[in-house]
Amino acid sequence: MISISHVSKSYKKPLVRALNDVSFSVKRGESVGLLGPNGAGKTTLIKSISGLINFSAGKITIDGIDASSRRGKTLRLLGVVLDGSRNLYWRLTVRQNLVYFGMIRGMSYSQTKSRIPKILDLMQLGEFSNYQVGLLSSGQKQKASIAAALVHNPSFLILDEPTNGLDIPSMDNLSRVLNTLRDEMNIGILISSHNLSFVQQVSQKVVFINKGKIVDILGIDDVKEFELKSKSTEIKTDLLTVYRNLMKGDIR
Amino acid sequence: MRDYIYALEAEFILELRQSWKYKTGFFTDLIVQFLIYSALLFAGRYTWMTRQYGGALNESKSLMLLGYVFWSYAILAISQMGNDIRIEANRGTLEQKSLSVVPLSWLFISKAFSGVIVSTVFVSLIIGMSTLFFNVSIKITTGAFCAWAVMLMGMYGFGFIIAGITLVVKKVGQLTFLIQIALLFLTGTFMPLKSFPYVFQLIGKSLPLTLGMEIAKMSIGGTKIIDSERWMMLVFISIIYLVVGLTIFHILECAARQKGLLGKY
Ligand SMILES: Nc1ncnc2c1ncn2[C@@H]1O[C@H](COP(=O)(O)OP(=O)(O)O)[C@@H](O)[C@H]1O
Ligand SMILES: [Mg+2]
Repeated sequence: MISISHVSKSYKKPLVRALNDVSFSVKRGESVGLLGPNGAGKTTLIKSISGLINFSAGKITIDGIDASSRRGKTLRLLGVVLDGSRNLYWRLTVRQNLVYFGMIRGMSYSQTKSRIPKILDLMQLGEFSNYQVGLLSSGQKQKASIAAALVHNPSFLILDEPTNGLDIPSMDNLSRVLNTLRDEMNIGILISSHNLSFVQQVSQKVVFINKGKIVDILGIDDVKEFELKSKSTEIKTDLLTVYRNLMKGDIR
Repeated sequence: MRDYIYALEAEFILELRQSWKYKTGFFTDLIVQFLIYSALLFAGRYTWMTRQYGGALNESKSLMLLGYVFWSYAILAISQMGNDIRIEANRGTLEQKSLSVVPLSWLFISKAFSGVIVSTVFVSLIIGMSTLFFNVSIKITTGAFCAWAVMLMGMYGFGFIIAGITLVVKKVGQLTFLIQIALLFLTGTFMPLKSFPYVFQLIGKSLPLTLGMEIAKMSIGGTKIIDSERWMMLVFISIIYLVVGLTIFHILECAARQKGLLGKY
């Protein structure tokens, strides 16, 4: 389980409270959406979980292991795809990337080799394995990045805004792939996004975040119910404000 | 422990693949470097070296080649990791690399090992060409080899400081270039150190490159017994450089994580 408790992070320059007392968890086999507008703190949270950012207060554990003091251990349990499309070496082929990233995450060459066909198959990338990453489409690049994050057989997959730059068919394809991963490999998935409909397709639980604070955490059925309510203008809550902003594609 | 070996292997494979991809660059570099070397060989008067280390004029050219070889490795050690960090941050792969189960510094050490091997191919070709065209060669002695290995370790310490600065500042610009040129003069590679002001002499003399080169030149120049004090000095200073370099790198890496700068360019 990824357990995040009372995590805060302030940046000094400029002074921003990017995360303010954030707590929630992600279990294995569960998919959680992290939904919030730009600047909400999604990237900061994801980088804190993966040890790329040292957060200021609180505690993050992965299967009980402390993420800040034992980064080497927790990174073995995580596959992370960061924001933007540059998670891989574009001049290397998909397969070469998978070998490299598997091996810097504790796999031997032969272990990596034997896992690659399965991963490529799951990500529907088999026929592109010997393509240079730079030559793939955005959707394929995203899937290749996910493949590279999965080679070392992590228990959790974390994705930061995976739909950026994807068209609707690629998004649908991505959500199908992610749901398969969750159900067949029992992976816990955390997906940040400001795209409401995508989050609904891939999450069982949605964490709404705005200005570094969690506004609400809802099960997917409640989200759907909520969506109906949001059409009515009488109700006014924090969550609805965030929600309406997202619906409008409004940022900040 | 196994993780470290796998990571070393991974970096090695990556380095070979990339060197192979950029093989045309490798050959143009080779030609350019050989021209620079030729110019240095003919422009300089190297009789002072012969006086200092003993031997005939042709041997002084051989010592000059040795200086050139040491200097090439030293600038590689100093600039390679910083350059790599800048390039990887620009590409966006630096953060994915940081998501390794081994420390980031180990990935760069592994890359350095691989880089040294690729450079050795490069340097061997330069020595080969030098022998072929100018009949200037070097005989490699055990002493010279050990001095080379130790000084290289020390210079990588220096490289880690620059790499750490690059993690935080990213664009270090001409800094590494300036250091490379300074090294050329401060180490007695092409000019006797004695002709510089005292402070520079002092800096120059406390560089692993200078100390290592001295020993190597003595060893190749035929000095039978090299005093153990010299060796101890080289080993001691090189270890200090490496330890200080690694420490500063880790401090700056931590600062980069604090400020959320790892992936920024
Ligand atoms: N390295 C940084 N230094 C200073 N402020 C930052 C840094 N990264 C993000 N921020 C600020 O922190 C807040 C949250 O940013 P971020 O986590 O990127 O949000 P999101 O991913 O939800 O768009 C924003 O106000 C942003 O400007
Ligand atoms: Mg973001």
